This record gives sequence, C-alpha cells and structure tokens, in this order.
Amino acid sequence: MTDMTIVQCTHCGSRNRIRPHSNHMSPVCGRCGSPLVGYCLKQSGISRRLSTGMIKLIGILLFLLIPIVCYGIVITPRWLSKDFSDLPAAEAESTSRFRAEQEETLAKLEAKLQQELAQIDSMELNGIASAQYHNSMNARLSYDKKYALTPREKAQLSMLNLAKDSTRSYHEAIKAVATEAAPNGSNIRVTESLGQIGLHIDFDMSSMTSGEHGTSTKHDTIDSLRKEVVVLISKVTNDVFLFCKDLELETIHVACKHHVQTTRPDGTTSVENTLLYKILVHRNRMPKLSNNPFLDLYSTTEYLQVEEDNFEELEIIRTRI
Amino acid sequence: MRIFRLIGLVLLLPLVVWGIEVLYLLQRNASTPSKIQTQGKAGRTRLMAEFKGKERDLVRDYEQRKYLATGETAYDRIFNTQGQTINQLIQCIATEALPKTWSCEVQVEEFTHFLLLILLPHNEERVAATRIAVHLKPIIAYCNPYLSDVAVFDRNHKSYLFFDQEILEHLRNGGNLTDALVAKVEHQGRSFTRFNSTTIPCEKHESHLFLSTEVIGPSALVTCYALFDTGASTTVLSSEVITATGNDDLTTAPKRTFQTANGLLSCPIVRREVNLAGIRRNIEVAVNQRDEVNLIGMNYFSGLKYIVDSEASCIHVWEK
Repeated sequence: MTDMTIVQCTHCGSRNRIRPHSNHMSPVCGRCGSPLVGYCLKQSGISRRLSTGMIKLIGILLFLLIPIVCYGIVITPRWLSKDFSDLPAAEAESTSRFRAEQEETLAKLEAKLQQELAQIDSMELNGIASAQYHNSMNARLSYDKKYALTPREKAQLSMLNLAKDSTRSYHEAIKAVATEAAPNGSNIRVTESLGQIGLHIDFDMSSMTSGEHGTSTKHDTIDSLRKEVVVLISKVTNDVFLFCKDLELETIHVACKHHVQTTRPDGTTSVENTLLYKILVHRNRMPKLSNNPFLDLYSTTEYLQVEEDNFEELEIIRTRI
Repeated sequence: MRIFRLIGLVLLLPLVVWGIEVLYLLQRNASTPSKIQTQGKAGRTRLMAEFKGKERDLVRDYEQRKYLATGETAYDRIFNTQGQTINQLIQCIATEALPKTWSCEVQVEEFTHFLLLILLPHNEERVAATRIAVHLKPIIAYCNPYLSDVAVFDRNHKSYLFFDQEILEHLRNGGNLTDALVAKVEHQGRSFTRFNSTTIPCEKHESHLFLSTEVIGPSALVTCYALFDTGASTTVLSSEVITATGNDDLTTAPKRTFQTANGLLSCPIVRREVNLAGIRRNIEVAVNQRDEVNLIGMNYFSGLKYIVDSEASCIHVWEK
C-alpha cells in the first residue's frame, strides 16, 4: 500500500489512489473517467516537465495549422482550377465550321437541282413521250407478242401465224386459221367452186356463251335469244374476217346451232342440234367490215346477208320445280 | 484539455471544407471538358437535323418544280411522263379530267382498241351525254389517236352511253353533240353489253331475296328457289335438289362443318353448276340434309362484283 500514489483529478477534483503500473497504461479518474494527467506529471520531475512542453507544443502547432488550412482553402482553387474558357470557343468554332460546310453542301445541291431544272425542256419531253406512245402503238399494230395478254389476243396471234405459214396448203391454212378463230367444237369446211373459195363455220351456241345447256337456254324470249345469236355470229365473223382477209376468200358462211326438242306432226319428239341462224359475207362486202371488237353488232351486221333464220319456228318453254 | 479539444474542432472544420473543395475542383476539372464537348456535339447534331430538313424541303420543292416544268398544264405533264404505257396515259388523263367521285378503267382489246370505261358512283343518276362530252374533251385531245371508244356505265354497272371513234373524232375537231349524235351515243350505249352487269331478278319475302336458280348436275337440270345469303360462305342446296341432279353417294362424299344459326352442321360437299340469269358457275355445294332450304353463298360470287338493289329486288353482277 505504501507504493500507492494519491493523484487529484484535474477535472472533477476527486482524489485517486494509483498503484505503480507499467508505462504503457494511462490511469483515469475513478469518478469522472478523465485521464489523470497529474499522475504522469508526478511520475518524475523530468517527464512532467517534458509532457507539459509537448502539450504546449502540440497546442501551438495545432493552432498554427488553422490559418494554414484556411490559407489552403483560399489558395487551392488557384492551384487546382483549370482554365476551360478555350473549350467553348473551340466548340463554337467547330460548330460554325460544320455549319459552313453544311451550308456549302446545301448551296451546291441547290445549284445542281437548279441546273437540272433549267435543263428540263417540256417540248423535248413531249417529243420523247409522243415517240414512245407511237412506237408502242406500232408494236401493237404489228401484233407484237408482248402485248398478247388476253386469251383472245393470244388466239389472234396464233391465227396470224397460221395465216402467214407458207408450209401449209391454201385450204389447210384457211382451215387452221378458221379453227383458231371459231369457237371450240365448230364444224369447219373449206369449199372451192370455180376457183372461188368459201369458208363455212357452224358453231354451237353453248360453246360461246353461258346458260345454254342441251335444250335449255337462259333466255326468256325468242327475241333475246336472237339478239345474242346475232352478236355471237358477228363476233365469229369478225374474228374470221380479221385473220382471213388476206387469204382471198370469196364467201364466209357462219351458222349458230342449238339443241332443240323437235315435235313432229305425229306427236313424236326428238332432240336435234338445229341451225338457228346462218349468215353470209361476200368478198365485195368484206372490206367494209370495220373491226371494232367493242361494237361487233354495229360494225358487222349491216354487211351480213342472212341465209337462214329459224327463230320463227322456235318456242321457249319454262320448267320449274 | 478543453483548449485542445477546441483547437481540434476549429482545425477539423476547415480541413473538411478543404477536402470538399479539393474533391469538387478535381471533379469539375474532370467533367467540364466532356460537358462542353457534349454540348457542342448536341448543337452540331441539331444543326445537322436542321440542314437535313432543309435538304428534304429543297428536294421536295425541286421535285414539285421539276414536275411543273414538264408541262404547262396537268394534262401536258401527264402526257409527258416518261416510260408510261398508253393504258396508263389514258387512265391518268381520264382520272384528271373526270370528277373525283367518278372512276374509270381502260380495257384493251385486239392489241390496238383502247376503250375507256367511265363508271358513275352508286349515288349518282345517269349523266347526260352532253355533260360527259365536256369531260371527254381533254381526254380526247391528249389520248388521240390511241383511244378508240368511251363507254359510260351507270350506278348499276350498265352501259348507257357509247362514244365510238367517229364521235370522238367529231368532238376532237370541236364539234358539238347534236341530237342525232346523242341518240346514236345512247343507242350504242344501250346495245354495248360487253362489260355490263347481269341483272339477277329476285323475289322478296319478308326482306329476304330469293333467286330463281338453275342447278345443273351430271344427270339433270333442276330449277329451284334459293335464298341470297351474304353470310353464307358456301352455297347450300337441299338433298332433294342434289339427288334430282346427280347420283352422288352422300355417305362417302367429303364433309365440311358449318357454323349455322342452329349450331354446328356437318354437310356433304358435292360439285354442281349453278346458273343465275345466265351466269353459270361450277362450284362446291354443301348438301342440306336437315331441311329444304337452298342458299346462294358467297362462293358463287367469287371473281364477280355485285350490287344488291333491294328496292328493285335484283342483284347486278359483273366480272371483276
């Protein structure tokens, strides 16, 4: 107990007993927990004096550091701040250079377009377009196969080729063209008498129009049936005329047939493929035939000579279930 | 000791401020150049977009001026269009010359006969030949000598005026349509039936249209009434009609299921020719084994156009 030292706390003033202890330990006040500085000072006279000096020195240093730090705060922006004032100017210059380039490009384009515009000559264009339409029409007039789009045009092309075929005999050529021109299943004959060639075509009405099947017809009246037959005959005549006109035919005979139920005087009936209407076109009238595919009735019928007309003997009977 | 603490605190505060200041400055140094460059780039991008817009406007303006420079009038410009076919020429000139609500088609027959079909809209009455002739003048002037004929169709797709080449030539030479020419145009128009619609007469019962239908099978032709049903995809015929027109074995025939008002219905499918007012079509027909109802479905009208005139109880049909 004799080794114990009494040290008064500089903070709360309470007296503390302290045993001898190693140097790395720091005693604290038992009441307030403050370090017992006085103890250290009491260790020895030399260390006490040293500690006090150190503390004062540290205090002075710390105190001196304050203005240094403050000075640092003030001076740091000058050291660290970089000058970027050139950058916006450089960017602005780059932008203006870019603008100038773009404006130049635009001006060049405008000049080019103006030049192109100045070179447009509507009269010249008109000439080119007219020539193009004219060439196209000429190609059509010479039956250029690229314009043969519809089945009818394809058939016409085929007829033209047959008419021009020099390997066939005269009769064969006429028959071949007529076969192409006439409806499917037509009966075609080429006759020759005193050097005059006649072409005979008998076709079934059902092969050219819908609604005609066996003895049945879509027509309600004989008049309507007759009109359609005349139109069909005109159509066939036009086709034959158009492609046989260079074959020096003397006459063209076209007949339309239909299945008809015939009642005989004795009451018996039979179904026969009967000729309804037959026309004839003479050579001297053929040049007058104008070929308008849209107006067959008008352009053709006035030049047709009727050979047979059996409509008067017909009667249409309607049946229904 | 208190003084030490005070000094420490006073020192700590400027130290923290200094640190923040340093960090701020370093960050500013690092980010400022890229920020300025980004702003510059954005400005140039805006500029580029602005110039692109100007370029587009310039080209558009040029195209317009180029088009206008190809001719004095719209007709001249259409005529002068390069690489255009005669069909396109007639079609474009006619579209320009005719009222906007009218439509037109060009048909070519036998290589060289160009026919212009003028189709009046469904809500317009027949227009007089003299008025049509006024619209035709620029067409005739610019499509000469290619246009052969002009046919005018009414709202039921029936031709009622036909201007042949002779009349078109007369109009081109400044002539007017006299009464005699109008009569000829009308007469030809009535007789020109090539592209006309076919009128299928109907019988109206409780707002339903019934059509007199010819059914042609392998063994016979039978006429019956069928309901016009725009909601039926397939034509349906009763088993009575089917057996009367052919000897199909309905038990082995392929079947198809239909959604009907009375639920799902499975029907055998056979082929028959169906003829309505002369329009004969070979189509698939569903056999109705449940009742005697016959329906004309939409498969009959495939490849055709039609107008239903419920007031006149008829259907106008023509080929597309």
